[in-house]
Amino acid sequence: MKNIVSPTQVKASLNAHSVIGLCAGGLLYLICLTGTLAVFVEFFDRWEQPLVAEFTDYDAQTITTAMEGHRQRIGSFADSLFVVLPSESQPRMHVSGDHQEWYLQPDGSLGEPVVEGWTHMLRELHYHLHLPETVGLIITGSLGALLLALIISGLIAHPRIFKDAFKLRLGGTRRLEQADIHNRLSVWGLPFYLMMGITGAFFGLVGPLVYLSATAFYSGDTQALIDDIYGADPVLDAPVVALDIGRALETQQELHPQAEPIFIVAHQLGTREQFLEIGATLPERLIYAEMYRYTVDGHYLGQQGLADGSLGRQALYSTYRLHFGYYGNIWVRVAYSVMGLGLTVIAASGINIWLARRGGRNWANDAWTATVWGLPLALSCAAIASVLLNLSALMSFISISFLALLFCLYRKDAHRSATTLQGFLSLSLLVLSAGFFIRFPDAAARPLGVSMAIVFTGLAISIFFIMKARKRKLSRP
Amino acid sequence: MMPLASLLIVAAINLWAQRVGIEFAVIYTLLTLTFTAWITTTKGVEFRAVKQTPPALPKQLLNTSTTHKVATFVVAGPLTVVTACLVTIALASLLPIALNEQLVMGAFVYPLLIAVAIYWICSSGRLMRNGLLLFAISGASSAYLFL
Repeated sequence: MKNIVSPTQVKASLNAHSVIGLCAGGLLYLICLTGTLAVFVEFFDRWEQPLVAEFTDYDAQTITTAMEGHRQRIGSFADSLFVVLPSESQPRMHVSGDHQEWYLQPDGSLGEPVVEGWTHMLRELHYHLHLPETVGLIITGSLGALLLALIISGLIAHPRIFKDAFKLRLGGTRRLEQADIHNRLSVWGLPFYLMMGITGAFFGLVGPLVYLSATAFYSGDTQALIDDIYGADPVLDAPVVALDIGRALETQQELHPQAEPIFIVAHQLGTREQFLEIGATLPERLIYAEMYRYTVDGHYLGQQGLADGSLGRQALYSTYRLHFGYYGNIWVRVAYSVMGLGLTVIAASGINIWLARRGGRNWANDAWTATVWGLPLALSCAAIASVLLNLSALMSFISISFLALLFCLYRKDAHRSATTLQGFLSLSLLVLSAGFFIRFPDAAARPLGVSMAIVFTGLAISIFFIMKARKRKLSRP
Repeated sequence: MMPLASLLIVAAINLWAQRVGIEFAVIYTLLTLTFTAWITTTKGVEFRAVKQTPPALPKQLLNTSTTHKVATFVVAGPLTVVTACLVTIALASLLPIALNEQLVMGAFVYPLLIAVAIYWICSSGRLMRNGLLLFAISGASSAYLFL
């Protein structure tokens, strides 16, 4: 690369890398941090509502009872009524439609409503920053594109990045130390971060592409474009007959024994257009699910072709699991979270390099400390507020983030502010671990509480070691 | 060493593929490669005595006017997104494949095109020229698509 890129281009690329990094740094850090945690949302969902009945066995009657229960509770059948089936990682069922959702008892009757608490806040923060959905998605999608721009400019700006691929020097000058951490984490995580950038940008920025493509080729009909890519829903016009989930499940087992059903959707129930879909994962396939269509009395209509349709359709339907790591076993989630944490550290160290190169100190140092250590503290405190005290997770997150910023700006000592915030973060994680058992003393909640307490305590201890390492001046403020 | 390393990676993908299928095999191999490299890097970590960092930030990063910063944001932000979108659709429509496949291909190329354009604008000192060029490209693409 040294021969290919001129020194002028290297310098220009370094400037571009700095400009893009400075513009995106804070939000990119937030998206990476929430993304790292979002890998485990299934576990957080369970931990947040630990008294929900957990089971993996279900039958057709359970599903029928759930659909009927939902209809009775909201007064009519939802246009699309989802029953999410239990799995090993999420051994609980829930029914949802028209934005109303309940967990199910093993007999299919409605149990606790699904709470939109801390996990929901975390998910929405990662998806669209709690902004109006379209605007938020465009911003988070743009951050994906900016991540790609950072990768491109970073590669061109560092001709020695592959030559120094195994060199890690801690201590020395702050700039060199942070640059080594930044470059070593990024160069080896490159394929993963490219994939995150492309899929993240795809989720957020596909809206304008769909709109303009529909205008150009489908007379402005976006639904026609989506149907052409993903496959259209079947259009039925048949006498209204009774629901027979059992027959649909039996036929599914006969025709596609290798497919593992993960949800069932009933569309337009009680009308002449009604039909069922069974969403199922397939072994060795990354696609989110293949959709098998049935009449409501269980006659097979065909499949959507997400697993065996055009390559483009298969690729599009694989992006969700690829981005979030929702496949394989727990170790895949752990690997994704480590990679996500790596990207979070890259975002933080990138700004740290800039601050070190700039020299001196002003409000920017304090604001950055508040971002790096205040946001994790705000997330942890929001979990305490939401799970233990039934307060609003979002309001708590915003309040603590704001307080952390004020604290750092008032203290005007980034090093000490960071240490204080780290201390509070450790403490809040310990409070979260212990507080869970006070909030949920029931024996049924204990296994989940113990598992999460081990993780939170481990995190608290890790942060304590980071504090000690900083004290030994391996790193400076 | 590079050919040998490449060969070993292909072998690793093949081994994973026999167990979990080719789609997961590629991801697992890349993840394993990353973790192995990180662990290797950590083993060779070098500790140095702490030194103060001399300030060395290029001046132009701090000295651009607010107008220039806003203009850069507009050109590298909304204008780039719209241009990349139109160019992607126009170029994808030239591919000799079905329309729905063209659009899927476009959906994956589009973020990369935005990234390249952002990099190009931010690394070049000629903001006005680049902005006008993007404007002209988006105009030409629009004309091709809608006229």
